Amino acid sequence: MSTTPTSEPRIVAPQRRRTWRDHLWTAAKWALAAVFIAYLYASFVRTEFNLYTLIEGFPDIKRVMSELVHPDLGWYEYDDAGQVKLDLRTGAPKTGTLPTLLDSMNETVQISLVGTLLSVLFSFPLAFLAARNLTRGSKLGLFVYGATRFVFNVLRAFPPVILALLFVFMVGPGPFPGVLALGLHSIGMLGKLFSETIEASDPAPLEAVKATGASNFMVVWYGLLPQVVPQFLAFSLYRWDINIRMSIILGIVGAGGIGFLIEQYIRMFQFSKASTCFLIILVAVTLLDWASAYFRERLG
Amino acid sequence: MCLTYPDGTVALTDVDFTAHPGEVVAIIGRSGAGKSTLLRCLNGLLTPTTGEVLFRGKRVHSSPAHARQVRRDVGMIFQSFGLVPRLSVLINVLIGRGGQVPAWRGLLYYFTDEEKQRALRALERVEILDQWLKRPAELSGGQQQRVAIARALCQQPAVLLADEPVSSLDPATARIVLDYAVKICREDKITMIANLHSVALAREYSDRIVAFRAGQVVFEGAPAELTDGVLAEVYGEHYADF
Repeated sequence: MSTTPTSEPRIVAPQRRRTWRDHLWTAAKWALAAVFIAYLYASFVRTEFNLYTLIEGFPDIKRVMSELVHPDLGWYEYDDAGQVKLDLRTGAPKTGTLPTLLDSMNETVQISLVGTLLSVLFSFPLAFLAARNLTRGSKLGLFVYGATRFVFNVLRAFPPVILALLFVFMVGPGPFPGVLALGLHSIGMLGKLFSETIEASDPAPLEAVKATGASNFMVVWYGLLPQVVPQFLAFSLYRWDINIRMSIILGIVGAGGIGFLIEQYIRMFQFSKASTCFLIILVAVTLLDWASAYFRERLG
Repeated sequence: MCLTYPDGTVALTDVDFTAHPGEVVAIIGRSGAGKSTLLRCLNGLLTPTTGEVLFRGKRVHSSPAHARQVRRDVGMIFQSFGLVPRLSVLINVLIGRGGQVPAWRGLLYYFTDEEKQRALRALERVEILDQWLKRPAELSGGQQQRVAIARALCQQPAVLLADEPVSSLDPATARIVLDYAVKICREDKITMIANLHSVALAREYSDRIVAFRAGQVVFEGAPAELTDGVLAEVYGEHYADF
């Protein structure tokens, strides 16, 4: 037990006097909260959120779920009697859902791979132009910095699905518009991340290399690059990881890959085939996720 | 020579001094007196607002290209060493040749055998050859600064600028590092200009001391002439000689 010595005076912490500005600010905060709650209520009304509808749809949910838990894993297509269907022209057995889907999942992964690689190739040089620590000092540098940043922001602003829709109209449906959409969007994302990595680098080695009489190129190539390359690789891998999942969605608008088939199966009420899609996506994404995490860890 | 930073801070006023070939000059003064600014003017990393820096009778700042040319013959070491992380000690030393290597070889990190030999010899002279494969982060502070000396040495410089080379090291290591730097400069007749925080080290190692206060030279002379009266002027009343 300790006793407080009575001789020590009580410390009164200095208080800030509340002015009319403070009171106004408090009132504004409460008003803002009220507006937000009202908007939240309006959002529930607008989105037709209704538990009764959910319960009403229960029989349908049951039917869909019962098919979903039975994915179609056939290697060939079978008729009702359980016989392998044959192609009428060639006489060869008809390929079933599983191989078809594995092939289109492969296409999805390949779309993401090519799209990511292209975006890395373009954003790598551009990132140096969008780094403030490398471009300051001259009017031209400042302009280049601003312009590159602007390009990155524009590319980032459009979701890949929107870009893919446009490209499907420009170059026709298939995997190629998917590659273009992912590539363009990822240039914006990676460019921003790369240039921010450059800005966060240690300036001391750069100055030291400059002091040896090296050219600007050599200063960046030797003083900066070794500092940022591991991070660049980690960001690129992470971007590929995201792009795999992105390219699944792109198929829905006709830009190739497994998404195209998911959309078709669901439209035609073939839920057991859709279920196979989900299963394949789950396995593929999990595996690639592990791989990407493993390599990123090794880079860090 | 004068230098005013863009934000209006006056770093140097009417600085005028000459370093003679092969001389070891120590620059002392309180933090913010303009010592680092001065060194960066000498090799063209900064451009003086008025006045000029002459190297071998030519203006350093006549053009950016010429300033770069000058820097090839002027080595520099720093308080924070300025080694490039993730590159081996050897490559860090080879960066000293960065000004001479053609761009295509620089791009590929390709160095000739002769260049590698020169880098290894520089490492040998600071007695750190056995560490050539390691990365800077694996070395102690004193070892890192010796690598930085080797990098400067690899340039075969006429002048070595040292910006607080031992301020981040303990007193014993500081002496070891300065021993290497000064010994090499004496052997190779390299002019050394070093900013030092320690008056004792400045007295011990230099031929001449230049003292700065608020961007102006307040003393210039042999270490023996540096009296307590002068030090009081340089450091203000807070100075006590340890």
